[in-house]
Amino acid sequence: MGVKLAHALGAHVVLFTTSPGKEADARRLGTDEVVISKDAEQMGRHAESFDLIVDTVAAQHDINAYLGLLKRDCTLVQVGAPEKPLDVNVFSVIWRRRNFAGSLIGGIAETQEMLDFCGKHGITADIEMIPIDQIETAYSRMLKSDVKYRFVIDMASLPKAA
Amino acid sequence: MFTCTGYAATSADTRLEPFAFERRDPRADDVEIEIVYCGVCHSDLHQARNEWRNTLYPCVPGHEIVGRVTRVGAEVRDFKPGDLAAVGCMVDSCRTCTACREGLEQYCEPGFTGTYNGPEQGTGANTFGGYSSHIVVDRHFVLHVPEGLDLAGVAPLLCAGVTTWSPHAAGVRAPARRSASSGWAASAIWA
Repeated sequence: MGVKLAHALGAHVVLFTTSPGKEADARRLGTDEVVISKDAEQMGRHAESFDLIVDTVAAQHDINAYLGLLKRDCTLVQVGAPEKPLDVNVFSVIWRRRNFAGSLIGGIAETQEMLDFCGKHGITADIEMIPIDQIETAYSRMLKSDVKYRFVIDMASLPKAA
Repeated sequence: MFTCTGYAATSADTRLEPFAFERRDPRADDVEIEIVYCGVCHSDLHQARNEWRNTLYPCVPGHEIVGRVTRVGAEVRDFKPGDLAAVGCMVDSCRTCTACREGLEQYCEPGFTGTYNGPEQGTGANTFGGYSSHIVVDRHFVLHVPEGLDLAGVAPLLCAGVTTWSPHAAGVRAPARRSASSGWAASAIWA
């Protein structure tokens, strides 16, 4: 969702991924550049160039590699929540007065603003529809990241009486 | 009260199964919605399996809800039966703290009421989410859905959408020319 929204907001969108196979899909969603995060040379080319980084990664990862890509006074916002603490090298933030921040969903007025924006720009999520009796299968597939990009339950599939 | 059908987990290690439960009839400020689609968030799985060790059972997950309004309370002017409506991660908050007064209910100081796993303001009762036929929510926490969008694709906007929207919108309010979204590394690592 981040890519579609950032693109529609007029940002130059760069997507970081560990998987080169995602490039075509990333471009379809509105990404201007794809960076393979394991490639130090590619990462180095983007040093000190971003106004904003939104980090949705919920697994352990090297946050300092991304903090170094921010311009002075700019912000990395963590919305993914890894289970264990991340190691922040404080020089990453001191050296360019950078911000390492977090954000939780959004307020009600802001949610309405987002929906109205999506209505105006024709933005919806890419989904895979399931009947509700497939929910356990959907959970298993989510754990393997086997979904593009969100399951949605068709409530017409709900039994009339439980 | 009226009876809803839904799907619930009854413990951390049982599968979600059909479940009947009671919801309140709409109060003066409430909107009743017949749910058409509900998105599946990773939080649903965490909560159903008690991975955050705070799950109240039975647990009816689901906080990416879209549907049609079926009934409204006497004081509700901005929704009427037949309207499209949506509900996200919150169904209530204290409404009086600094955060709530600034429209930042997600940072409610005593804590907002989650769409599932409560606790309900005042009573402390559990709340039941969107894997169900209907939901009854105070109008302040009900969103209008623009007509013309694919309704199933709207559902994930209520959590995944606004979660990424909020920092980008804040970034746009500040002068920003470039943006990066480092999200997909997650799916690659999870795989």
